[in-house]
Amino acid sequence: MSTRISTSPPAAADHYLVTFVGGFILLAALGIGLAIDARQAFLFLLGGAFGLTLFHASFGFTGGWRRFVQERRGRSLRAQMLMVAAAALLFIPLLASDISPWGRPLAGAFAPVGTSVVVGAFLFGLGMQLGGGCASGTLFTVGGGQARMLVVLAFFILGSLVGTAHLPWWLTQPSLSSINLSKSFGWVPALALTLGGLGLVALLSIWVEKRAHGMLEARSTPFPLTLRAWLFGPWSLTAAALILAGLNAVTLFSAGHPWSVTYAFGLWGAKIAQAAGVAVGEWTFWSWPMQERALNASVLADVTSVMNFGVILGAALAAGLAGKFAQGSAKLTLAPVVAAILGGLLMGYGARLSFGCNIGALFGGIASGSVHGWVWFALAFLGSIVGMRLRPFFGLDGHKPT
Amino acid sequence: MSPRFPLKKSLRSVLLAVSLPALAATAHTGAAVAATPAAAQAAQQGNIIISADQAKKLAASGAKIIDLRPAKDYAAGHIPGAINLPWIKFNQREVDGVRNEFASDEVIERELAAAGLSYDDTLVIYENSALPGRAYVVFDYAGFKKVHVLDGGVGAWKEKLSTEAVTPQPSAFKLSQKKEIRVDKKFVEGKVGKADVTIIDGRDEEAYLDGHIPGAKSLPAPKLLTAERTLKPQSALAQVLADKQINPDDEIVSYCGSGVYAANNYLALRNLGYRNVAFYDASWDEWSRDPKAGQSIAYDNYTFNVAGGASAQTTADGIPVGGKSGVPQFIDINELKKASDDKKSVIIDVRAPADYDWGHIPNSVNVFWDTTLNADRTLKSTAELDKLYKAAGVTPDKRVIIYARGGYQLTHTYTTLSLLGYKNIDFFTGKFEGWKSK
Repeated sequence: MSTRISTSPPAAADHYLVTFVGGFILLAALGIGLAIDARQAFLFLLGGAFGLTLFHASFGFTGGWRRFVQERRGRSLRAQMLMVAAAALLFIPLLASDISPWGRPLAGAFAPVGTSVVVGAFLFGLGMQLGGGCASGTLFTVGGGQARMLVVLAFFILGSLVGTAHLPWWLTQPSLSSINLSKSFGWVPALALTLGGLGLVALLSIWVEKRAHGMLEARSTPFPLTLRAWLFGPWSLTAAALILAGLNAVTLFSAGHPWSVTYAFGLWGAKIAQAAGVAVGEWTFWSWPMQERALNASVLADVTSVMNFGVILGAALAAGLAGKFAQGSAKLTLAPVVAAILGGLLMGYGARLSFGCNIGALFGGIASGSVHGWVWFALAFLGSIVGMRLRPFFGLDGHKPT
Repeated sequence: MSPRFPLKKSLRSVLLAVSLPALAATAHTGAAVAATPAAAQAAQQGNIIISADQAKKLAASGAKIIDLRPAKDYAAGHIPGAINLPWIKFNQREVDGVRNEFASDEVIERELAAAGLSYDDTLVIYENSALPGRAYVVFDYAGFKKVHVLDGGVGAWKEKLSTEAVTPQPSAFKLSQKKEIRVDKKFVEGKVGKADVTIIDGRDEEAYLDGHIPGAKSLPAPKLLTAERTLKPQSALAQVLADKQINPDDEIVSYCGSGVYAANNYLALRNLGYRNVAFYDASWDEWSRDPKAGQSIAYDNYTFNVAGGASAQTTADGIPVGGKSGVPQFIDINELKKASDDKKSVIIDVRAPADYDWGHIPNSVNVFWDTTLNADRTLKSTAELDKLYKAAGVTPDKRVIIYARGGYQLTHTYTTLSLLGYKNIDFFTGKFEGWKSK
């Protein structure tokens, strides 16, 4: 999930895959539109757009953080900061206005700043490096045909389910209430603080990179300017960053809340467990009103689930267009699979504890002006550093497994 | 100087012939009028509030018509021949925090004199409805024996109104026949709970429900009027009163918020022939501000809709997250069970001891919410309350969870504990399993 070398020949598009996936997406959208409503179908397609974007730009957090820590290259990290900043420019004013397109005001991604976020984010960051992808990364690589990521996803779901069982306890641990920078300082200062913070991280990465390499890495993928580039990829990180920010704003407006990913994993886990006979409905978490309703309703009624399906399919479509489906898929040997299992479990559990993942907490939280997003970022990064150190033990990064 | 006619002589005899029976007739009615006050009141049944036709007849035979409305309304059009005596002149808007009290005797006397009235006058007073009670009670207090009220007020006068002001010749009126018709708080206190006394509350139903003199019955004064603001027919009124068991033989005490509706009820009941009606002028304004006076409330107990309701702080995906910043939360059963084992928490069951004995949450303590009140339903002193709670092991350093089964009990306990300085309070009102039973 890192830079593409510009001299590699563009692969031929996989026509069958594109047709199949494209057709499936359309049918699914129709089905969802009929089963639920037009808005849900739109959100599904929006998920598709997210997936396509993520894949075409290979926009991953995990590799980016690793490159920064291990190689002192901060391009990906800076693209992430740009993405969040662009989103904040849209989110914070939108949330400050009392606009209520669906009868109630838009909800930002806010969560209490406490023990569960600190612990959960750290575990997520750790798991992220073992699994080889964060939440959005797992989805788009699964869509892109990486079999190993299916293992990560499966255990991500399991970890989330366990997380729902434990979350009520975690919520009784010491915690501040959620801190909304807009409410604390007014939205203009909140926006300034947010942009300032993100800018600071970017500047820091520039300083670190220059110190280590003398100059910043050259851009390898140009900003897509032709239709061909847009359709078949690859996209520059900058382009993806801006588009993802825009898509998240559309999500905020259409769904009433920012893009989220990991909530669905807990739901899927619960539904599967319920189908297997486990009395999940009696768990404290699943007896909370909104969760109970989600558990008892069709999975298609859950916005996050539907968008996740969209992300996977959108990535698959992009993979087909770019001719990169299942490209470079390594053989599944034991050690990397163990890492995938552990990574998935840690991410699932960690995300549930910390009210989200890189998308829900970092992207959505910081862009909404929530302090928990920053805490999440910091702790996940720390966890990632630890995770990076553990990767060699599992035979990742070309090392022999220990 | 007309010459003497033989007709004059016959005229005198005719007059004599006519006057004798007339005299006899007058003596007859006069005798009736001179009977006992009770009978007099009974004879006045339906005689206070009169129709426009009756009013016209009385006016023709010398009765004075009094327009009680403000000068502006009088000037715009009044019953021909009426004099203007705005009732507001007899009123003080607020005295010692009690609204709508009588003006002083001096003022009343002065105004009546300026209107040129005397105790011999027959008065027909009118305002905008059949019940200008506030003015009527002043005339009654002043001692006027022949006061009538125009049913329906100025709206009942079907002919053209006059804009010609009538300036009365001032009289040498003195308030020599006044009689106190108002009763004070002490009097009413003595009547609360008495079997043969009926206290009636003239306010709107909502106000009555929110708090009334213990035992009082609701008789909203506006309900006695029709849409045209005339008095409802006697049969209808009698039915209403019978339904509420407000009997003509009872001793009645009429009150309301400040004394306006109470006066209306007073007038209406007197008009119906009720002989024993007292008028508590200071009414609820005075009664309700005495913490020891006692109030009945008629609203049902209430509950908090906890399921996703009262404690509505959640994240966007519905995870309940309360701020631990001094805001009480409605906790769930798991948290309650944990608190039950926690030495730093105490669950306080505020139900009656009998309920507690039969079954309570393990490790919970019982402080019946009602025991925080004295016999006269005032809150006990801070010192007594501190002792009361401490004896049960409830202290401000602990996290207190109030277990209650209704809004009153919960709110009362929360308020009491807050007054004592408790800052760490949560609520549990949900389903509990695992009772420690008898």
